[in-house]
Amino acid sequence: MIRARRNAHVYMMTGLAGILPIVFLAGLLYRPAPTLDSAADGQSAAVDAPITSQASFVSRSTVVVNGIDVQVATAETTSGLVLLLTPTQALPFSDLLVYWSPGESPPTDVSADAFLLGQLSGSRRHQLPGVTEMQTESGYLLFYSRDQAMAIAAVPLSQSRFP
Amino acid sequence: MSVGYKAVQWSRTKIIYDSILLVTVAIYLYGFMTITAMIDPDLDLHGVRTRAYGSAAFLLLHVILSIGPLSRLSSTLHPLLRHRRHMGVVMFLLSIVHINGWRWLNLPWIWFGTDAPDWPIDFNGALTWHRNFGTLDPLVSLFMGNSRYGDVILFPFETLGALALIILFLMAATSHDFWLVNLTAPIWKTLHMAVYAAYGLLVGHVVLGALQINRDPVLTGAVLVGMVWIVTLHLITGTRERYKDHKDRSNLLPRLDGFVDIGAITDFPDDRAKVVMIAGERVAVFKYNGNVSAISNVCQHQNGPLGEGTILDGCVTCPWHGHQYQIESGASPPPFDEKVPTFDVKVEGGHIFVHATPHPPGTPVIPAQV
Repeated sequence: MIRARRNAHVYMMTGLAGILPIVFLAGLLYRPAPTLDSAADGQSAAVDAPITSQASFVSRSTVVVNGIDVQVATAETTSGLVLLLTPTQALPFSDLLVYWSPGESPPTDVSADAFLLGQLSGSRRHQLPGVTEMQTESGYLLFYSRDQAMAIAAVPLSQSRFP
Repeated sequence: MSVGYKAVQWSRTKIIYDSILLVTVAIYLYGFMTITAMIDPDLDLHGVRTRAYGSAAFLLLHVILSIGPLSRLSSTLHPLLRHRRHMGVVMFLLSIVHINGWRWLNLPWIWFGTDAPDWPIDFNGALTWHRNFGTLDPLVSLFMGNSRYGDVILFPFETLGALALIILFLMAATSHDFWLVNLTAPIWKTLHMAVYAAYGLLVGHVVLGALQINRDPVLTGAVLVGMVWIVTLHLITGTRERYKDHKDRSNLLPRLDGFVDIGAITDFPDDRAKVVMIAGERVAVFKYNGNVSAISNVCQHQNGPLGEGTILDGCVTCPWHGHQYQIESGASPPPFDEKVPTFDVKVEGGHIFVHATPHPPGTPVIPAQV
């Protein structure tokens, strides 16, 4: 390098040596606490609870939602019966919610008697509560985009999935 | 510097280095995704892939930024300098995948209004997180989602990453001898020194982004070690260079006839150069076959240090990229046309004297006899 660039290099690195440690320390020391308060938000905590090693699977199958495979399982855990949904890849819809809707025919919208089970973002495994009604009545899992205000798919959920 | 135009001057060595680079990156990405999935199978694959590509680009940037100063400390690393540009372009592509996934592969089909084929690798990139598959434009979502520009900790780290990406794009787009020749080496070098600004922005991007969510001490420690390594390494080598320059500027002053006493002949190694600072810039003084010649130390290609090169076939060969100059004229051998300034040299009383005023580039000078 020519001398002017060598000097510029030293000035730039001296500047970085002064700024970066400050950014690093400030970033760590003042980072905000996690916003999810599990104790205060019991529903979120239940929905996002990790699968315990005591989980006992009752049924497993794969359904297709908008061309993407979603593994559906029911399991008994220490906190009760749960529904486990695992998309093989992210479903390309905004604010995707999962409802259980009672009835013999597939719903095309969120009805007044539908139960909101939780959200289904990304491709990780989601643990949703197994509400009592879905264990005793015929119904459908309704995949609904809240942001786009549209029903994506409805798949039947047989009572045989539950003990 | 080429007879016929070739977009990339592939050689066997380049292919080997590039293959090693690509295989290493592929192993890292595969390992990152596989090991993370094994540790926690419930993690969102989309987030894991985003981190895999982002961390690969950040790590590669550390490697790229280490090559320059390490090669100043050990000449055995000079070959890596010749392959740094390809690493830079790979790092830029990894950054693009980190942000926009593999969706750019679909663009040709989208432009023609048809459906793109299913790719074996399906990944949407970090922009999807901001867009959340919604109707809002992803870039609007990216820059408007967090507007706490007055806050230090909650500052939108995405903006820092976007600014770094603009710099990396300019560098990747001009990482070619076409631009090097047309911009000239000093301007090109200045543009590419913006990589240090990009590095600073990316450290901010990681600290105010990933480290805010992921509190794993190993990750925090890795970022800290990388930062300390890069800054310390550059400061050590940069300060060393400045000290050398300062020492020469104080000691090597021209006499009334314009010549500068640069030392005893016995202090000069055979077939190598001694680099001295004369009249504000470095000069490479070579002793070879009983002769002494002096040319500018600054290679015209990328301003590499000619004085650290070797003499091959009567030509000084730049250690960075192998550009050659005839030692007595400072001109590249035909058909190439690069030229560097030459200096008058004489030997008196067992000492070598170099004139402080250079000849125009490519001017033949009779070497001094030892």
